[in-house]
Amino acid sequence: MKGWTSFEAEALPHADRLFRFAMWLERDRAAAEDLVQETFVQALQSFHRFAPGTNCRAWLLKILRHVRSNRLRARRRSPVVADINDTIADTVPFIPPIPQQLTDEDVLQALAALPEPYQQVIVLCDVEDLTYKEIAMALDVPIGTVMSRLHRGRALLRSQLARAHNAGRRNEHALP
Amino acid sequence: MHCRELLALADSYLADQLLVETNHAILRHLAECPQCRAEIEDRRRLRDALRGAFQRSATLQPSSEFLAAVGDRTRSIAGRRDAGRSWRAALAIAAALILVATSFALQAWLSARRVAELTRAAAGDHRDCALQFRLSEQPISLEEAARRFDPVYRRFATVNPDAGRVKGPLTVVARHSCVFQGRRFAHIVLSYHDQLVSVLVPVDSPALTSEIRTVDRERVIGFPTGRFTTFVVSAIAAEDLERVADAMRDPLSRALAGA
Repeated sequence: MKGWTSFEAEALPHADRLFRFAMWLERDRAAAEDLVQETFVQALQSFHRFAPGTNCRAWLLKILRHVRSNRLRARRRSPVVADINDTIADTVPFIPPIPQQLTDEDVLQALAALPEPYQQVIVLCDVEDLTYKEIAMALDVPIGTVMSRLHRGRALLRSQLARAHNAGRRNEHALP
Repeated sequence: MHCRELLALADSYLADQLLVETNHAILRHLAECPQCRAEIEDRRRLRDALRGAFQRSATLQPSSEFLAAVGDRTRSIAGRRDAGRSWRAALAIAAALILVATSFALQAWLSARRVAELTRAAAGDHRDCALQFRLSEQPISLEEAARRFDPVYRRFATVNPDAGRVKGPLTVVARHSCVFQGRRFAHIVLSYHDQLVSVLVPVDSPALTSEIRTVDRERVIGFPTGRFTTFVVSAIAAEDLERVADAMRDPLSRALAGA
């Protein structure tokens, strides 16, 4: 069980953060748990390929992304097409200021309203603290794509927050 | 650094993805530019808000039962896999042992076959050369054999039995090199109590690993002598043949030492 001992020490401590990412993507507890279980089973089987000293969480996230992509394909859902979302992002005219009052709900709702590729890079960078290089590895995209998605994703997020904030203010003024 | 450049690098700066020199340039600019400072603070606030929202969201947290189940399942799979590996390793070891045992058995069988063949050839040479003089190829002198085949034949020219080990006269009747069924021997013919005894050394064959005793129409004793095998063949009584073999053992060993 030597391999298991290393796996237990290196990989298993990331289970909670992996679940959080899976849960964010799936929005369904059972689906997220299933996805994380399958990710860890596959990680165990290919643990000999993990390079010690590198970021194990990034490696696990890469496996999770593969497992999820395969499942989406199996369900005949079309895979995420980055170019379409990048085109949408290009239409963001300017970056609005960030509202002073930010609740957890505001932030999570605004993030959830973004196209998934932007959500992924923002969560992996700002929440999971992965480097651009590790995000590129986890998502199988060039590092330049990570940077452009982050830039556009954050701009979209701010627009979304500003829109939600303005809508809230209008509702407040409408009150008698 | 200008404001436009700083805004392009702001996210990378907050993610700590820039070189030290670039960070220093940004810090210098921020010290002098309140607008950029405010923008950086805004972005940092959004980043912290995101991180905090994820950490505080109860929906996004895994249950402790689930985390335990992940550990249990992977441990169970690892256990089954290791058990499978142990079986495969045991099977591989067993197969290797069988292979080694088979190889040893085959070598022993080949060695036994070679010894039996040599013994038969020595007995045949004694019969056809020493007793009946009916070899198809005439014997040649040891000197000629040394010249034509191997200088070691010359060493048999001076080997004499140790008379102290036998009861009665043991004399050399002839010495030569002869061939029986394609195998060439150094052949010393002895006379012991009026019976002929052959001392035969197949120079091109390796030494036996142990002594042999066989009885057919002639008795044969085989023993290693240096890197060669010596066969002593005769129809005399077994104990007499043992004595003759003993009488030849040391002189042969001395003569062939270093050969």
